[in-house]
Amino acid sequence: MGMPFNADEVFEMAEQIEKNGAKFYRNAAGKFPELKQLLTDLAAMEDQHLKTFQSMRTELSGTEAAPPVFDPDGQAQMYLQVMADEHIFDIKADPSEKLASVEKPEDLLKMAIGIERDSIVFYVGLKESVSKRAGKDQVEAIIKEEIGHIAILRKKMDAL
Amino acid sequence: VQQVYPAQKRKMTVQLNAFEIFDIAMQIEQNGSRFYNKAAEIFDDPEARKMFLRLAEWEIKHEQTFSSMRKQLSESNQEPGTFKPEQKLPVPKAMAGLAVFGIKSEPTDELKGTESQDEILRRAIEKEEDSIIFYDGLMDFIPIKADKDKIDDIIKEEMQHIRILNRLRKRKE
Repeated sequence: MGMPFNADEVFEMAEQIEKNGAKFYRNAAGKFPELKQLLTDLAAMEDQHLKTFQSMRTELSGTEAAPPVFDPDGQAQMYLQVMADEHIFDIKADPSEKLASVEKPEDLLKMAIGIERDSIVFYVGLKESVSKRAGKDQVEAIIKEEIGHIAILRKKMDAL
Repeated sequence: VQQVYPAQKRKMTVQLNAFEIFDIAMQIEQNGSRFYNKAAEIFDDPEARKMFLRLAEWEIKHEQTFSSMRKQLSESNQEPGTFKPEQKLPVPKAMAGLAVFGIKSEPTDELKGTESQDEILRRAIEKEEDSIIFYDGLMDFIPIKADKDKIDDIIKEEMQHIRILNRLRKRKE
């Protein structure tokens, strides 16, 4: 198995996930006025995560040139590769495009939970790959917040 | 494990103890195994069937790992001054997530046999993702390094399952 990613690239992917997420929530807020507040708040939180990943990446590139991720058995690399695979998780795709087919708030919330789930699993893979120095704890904190988002989305779904 | 722990009836303020968390993990693995056995019945492709049966076996192994960890926990509890697993744990954010994913341990999403192959693979991947997230949250409650490593291994194996499922999915396209 090759080593397809270095830490810089992995963080770049994480940034893209957050950008996609924020865009998805903002577009959804425009389409579903009844959920506007919630979706706008979630978008703002994803913006915050984006900033965290950006600063982690900057810090990392300041200390050493694109170090390979720490992953002795190659499993996490493999996983990141799978996650980056468009068949599961197309990082390059704009999830807002999926919005076109969504009519009911319930379906929107379900889709949002799916996007959050994908991102969490990617970050679990990322966490496996980065050293403490590279910000393992920060990734962990973001995972917890994304789980919190799912809890919020689920609560909203129950309340519909 | 008895019927799934009634996490689904609880709200976000849920508090679980360590035993209950292990019960949910075991239930997730049992459900996963049942799901894969059923998938093996539905697929006609012999290679895919073989793969599903293997996945079902692997999930049972995970269940056994969780079961022995749970047992150890109850044995260590006999010693005075140790971690009390029956104590309700605090409710950090991850706990809300545990409750969210505990819900997924319900066997309600069993396969009917009418699903398309792509739908089955998609749902299998989703289930694997849920279990990874649940186990990642579970790590917060494990005080012993050796146990953390075991859970870490299970997470990596579930990641490997996603890879296998993804390959099957690609082949079907």
